[in-house]
Amino acid sequence: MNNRIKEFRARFGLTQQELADKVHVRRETIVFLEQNKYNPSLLLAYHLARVFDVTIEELFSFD
Amino acid sequence: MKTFLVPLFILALLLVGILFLFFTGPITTLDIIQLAVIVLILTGTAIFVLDRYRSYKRKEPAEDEYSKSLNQRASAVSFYISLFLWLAIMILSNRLSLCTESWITLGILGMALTNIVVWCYFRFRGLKSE
Repeated sequence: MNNRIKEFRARFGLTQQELADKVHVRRETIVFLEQNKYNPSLLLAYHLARVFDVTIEELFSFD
Repeated sequence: MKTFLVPLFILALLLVGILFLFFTGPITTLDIIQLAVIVLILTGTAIFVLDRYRSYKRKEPAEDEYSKSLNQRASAVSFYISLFLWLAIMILSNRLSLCTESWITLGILGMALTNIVVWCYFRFRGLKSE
């Protein structure tokens, strides 16, 4: 599964720490998500999509 | 506060163990091996405590879904490895002459070491397949 978290984060001018604070996770979780080394839960995916005001499908995609 | 107390308690317990080892009789080769493993465990615990402390400083949650998954995965994998470790100890105990306490100590330290190594592996590799 691929994601566009890094792209959206840059677009919104957020740091990894700021994004982590917004979705109530640790910064390392954002790091691993951006590196595609971790697939988030549906709840976290939903929170991330809400922060960027996009749908989950826009943020995450399958190869 | 609980976040720090548990690892610090483990750290203190290990330190007491090391001191006990040194001040209760002559040091054998097995003691040195045990000490080396204990040092590795201490290092792992120190990394863990530092990790928690950094999170505390950043006002992050001590645990989130990633760290929980990491702990679960590391525990699950190290459990299977530990089974084989005990199997190896069972086979070796018939061939090598060591007292029962030493084998049990080796087994317990091996389990702890396995857990730390597996945790570090997944910590740096990530949990892509989860």
